[in-house]
Amino acid sequence: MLEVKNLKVSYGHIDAVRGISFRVEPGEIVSLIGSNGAGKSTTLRAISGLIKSRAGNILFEEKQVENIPPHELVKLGIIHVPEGRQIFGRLTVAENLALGGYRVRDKRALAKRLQDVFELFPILKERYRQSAGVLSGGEQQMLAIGRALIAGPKLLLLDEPSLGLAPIYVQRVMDVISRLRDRGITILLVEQNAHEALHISDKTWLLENGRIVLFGKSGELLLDQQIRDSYLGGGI
Amino acid sequence: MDFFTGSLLSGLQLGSIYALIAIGYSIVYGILRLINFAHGDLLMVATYAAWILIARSQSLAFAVVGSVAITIVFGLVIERVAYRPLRDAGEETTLVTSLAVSIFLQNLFLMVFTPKNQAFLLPDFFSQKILNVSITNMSVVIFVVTGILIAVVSLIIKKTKLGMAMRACAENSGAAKLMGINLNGVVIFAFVVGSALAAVAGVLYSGQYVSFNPSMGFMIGIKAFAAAVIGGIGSFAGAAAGGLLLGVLEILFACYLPQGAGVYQTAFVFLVLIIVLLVKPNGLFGVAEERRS
Amino acid sequence: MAKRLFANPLFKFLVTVAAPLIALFCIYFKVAEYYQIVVILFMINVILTASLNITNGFIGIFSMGQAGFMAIGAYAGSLLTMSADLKISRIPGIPEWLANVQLPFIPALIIAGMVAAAAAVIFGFPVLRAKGHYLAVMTLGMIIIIKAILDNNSNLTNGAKGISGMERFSTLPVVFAVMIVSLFFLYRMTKSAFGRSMAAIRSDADAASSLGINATKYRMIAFVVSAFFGAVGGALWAHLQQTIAPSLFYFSRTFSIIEMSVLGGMSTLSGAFPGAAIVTFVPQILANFENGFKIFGFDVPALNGLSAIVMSIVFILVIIKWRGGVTRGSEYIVNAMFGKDTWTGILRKQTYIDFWNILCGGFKNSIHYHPHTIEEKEQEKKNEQEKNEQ
Repeated sequence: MLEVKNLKVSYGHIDAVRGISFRVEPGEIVSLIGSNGAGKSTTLRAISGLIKSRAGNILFEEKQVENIPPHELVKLGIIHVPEGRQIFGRLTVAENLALGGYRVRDKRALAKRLQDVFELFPILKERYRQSAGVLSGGEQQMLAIGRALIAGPKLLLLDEPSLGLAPIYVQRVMDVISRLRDRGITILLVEQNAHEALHISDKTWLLENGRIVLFGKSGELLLDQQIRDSYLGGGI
Repeated sequence: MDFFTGSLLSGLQLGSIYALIAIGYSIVYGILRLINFAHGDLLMVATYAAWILIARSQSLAFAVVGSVAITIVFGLVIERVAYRPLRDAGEETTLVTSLAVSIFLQNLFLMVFTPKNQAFLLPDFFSQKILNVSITNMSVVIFVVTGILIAVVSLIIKKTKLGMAMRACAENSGAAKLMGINLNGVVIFAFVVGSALAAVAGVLYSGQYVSFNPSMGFMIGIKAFAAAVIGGIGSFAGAAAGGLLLGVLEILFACYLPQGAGVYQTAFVFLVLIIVLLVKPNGLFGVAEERRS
Repeated sequence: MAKRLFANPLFKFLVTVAAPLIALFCIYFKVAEYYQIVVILFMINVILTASLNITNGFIGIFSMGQAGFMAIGAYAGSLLTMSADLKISRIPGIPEWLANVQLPFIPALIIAGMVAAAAAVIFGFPVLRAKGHYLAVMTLGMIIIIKAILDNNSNLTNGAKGISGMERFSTLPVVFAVMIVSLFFLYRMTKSAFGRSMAAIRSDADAASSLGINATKYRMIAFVVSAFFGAVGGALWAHLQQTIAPSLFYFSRTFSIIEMSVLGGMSTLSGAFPGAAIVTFVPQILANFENGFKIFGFDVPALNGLSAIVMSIVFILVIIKWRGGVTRGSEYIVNAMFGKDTWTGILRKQTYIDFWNILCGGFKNSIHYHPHTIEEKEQEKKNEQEKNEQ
């Protein structure tokens, strides 16, 4: 569904991503892991159009989509949940969710998806009329994902969903992600929490300093000693 | 009516006009973090446009609608040519560019129309007084029109999808783009609304105070900008409140301190601005801004 | 070849010191009075622009208030150089102490600068607390307040009507000398430890503070220095135009100075030269198209519109395409003028030899093939040897 070929992204003179390639098949969860500053978020932002790539190709469903503006990509079904959640604190939960459906024409689909979201995240129904700024970190993450779901994503880009969340919320988020995959949504997950990422995803690519240094089936990588030592704290 | 009430009314009148302009400043600033010094000059553009159209068509309604349209065109061209290329530039850069645009507009109209003061004469109806109270029809028109426009814009911002998109862009344009919002489209809409408000403000101002020339817009714009900042720039209610407050303060100041009147007026406005910014850096009703991409 | 040429001290000396001096000499003695005025104006503008670049470019305080300091300098300078009789006749109501003060030109310049510096301290306290465009707006407020004060104190300033009659002290040699001294001072300042601190504060004031740099104090110092030289420029200007009024130091004036700063490149002192050149000479050329003869600097509204329109368009284009201005951050001109490299270089024989070689080499280049790499040089040598053996 998504193919990235030799992507290069720079911030001014700093090369954040130095030529990476990977694929995401439909219905998979693929994770990009790596330490801070490895280039994971930058990759997502290049895919969703927030920043321009310097070189390389991004193909979504066989079509070239690199350097297309973000609002066009939303129409194609690429939905990006950014790092730090970035919900609109000054708007209500209802308005945040409505914004998720900004590009959706079908009113009935919208209503159905809203019900779906309420089912997945009952707390959002509770706090529907409240200002989004009063939600806790975990609740905001729910809102961010819920907002993305209203858009009806084909490919969901999740940037560090577990960042800054209490462990119980991390679990809930990971549960939700699994359930989303069960519904047929393809997911590209960026995570610093390598442990969770490896457990939940089908395939994993490891980034270091803007380059891919390792990749494979997540299950196998979980058992790889090098990964265990570097990213999972050693041990079993 | 006693002197104080009369002054107060004058102040509110002027303040209403400031409010319309201040709201335009605020809307654009909220989304782009751009202080548009050329905004006040749109007032002047509208006045000249209306003046010409009235002379040609003899129809006030046509002149007003036409001048609003022309002003909107000016506003959109300026956005496209001078501001959009600088979308990712620093705030000082866009500020000084807006000053360049302002100077350009002023000198353009100066060249075409000469610096001569012209008179914007409306039909007698407007200068007639209501009943026995010393309020002219013009004053009533100002209050009514301003009230309606503020209400309409407020409704647009709070209740429509586009208004919601504007608020989202104002808070976080990056996240807004990820919702599928076309930032350029929202900016265009903001400039349309702002320019239209400035145009109406221009017609009202010239209708009330009659005399106009190419440099009028700039000073009024500066004061309205100060009003927007005092009220809390980026905040719709703040801009309106700031405008009214400043109008009242300015007139009261001019009425009650005879020797300082006129010449010190603008300086006074800025002194208030500086003091307010020192005490409340985000204006009276402003929201603290975080820098975000 | 060009790089080596530009690095050669003799070249630097010739281009930035010798040639201008010779040109100025010729202008002073040969050229008509009218054109001399334009050149003097150019040099005054260089001072004004350089003073603005200190705040806007070096320390990162974007000030739009330079016209205010210019006004203070113009008024203070004039009041100090005019005779008592002149002042009493031109400024009705002037207090005696003020009427009786009279100083020679240079001391008057310095005192005018100090007055502006004092004003900068007073304004600086509220203004420098703000940042970014809010600070810029406050500096605009500063201009408005200064103009209001000047308009309203007729017993000191003759109000909106302004003052005229000061002597034409701003002759070409005098202004040139002041410009050189001012630039040299600013040059030394930017090259010093203070200058490096300014750069640190510009990039990130908080980080600079955490390194022990007192950002607040340094910003105030930069602001005051900028005001001082802005006032010097203003006083020079007053004694060139010989008439001043508050309206001449308002928004269009301050924008002019910003224009010069931005067009030339505001993060350098060198930018003052191209910036001032463009804004001084281009409108002059345009003015000839507008309507015959006019003394530059007087804002005669109706006809001045064209140059303002053209300049504002140029400004917008430059700021969109070349944000770094003409010099793009290069301090070449000023470094060449004042640098140790230049002045010690011309005392060394090797410099002259190099210079000659570069020129000849350049000449040869346009005719012969010139080897670039070491291998090619070896090959060329071999070819020469073979040719000699034959």
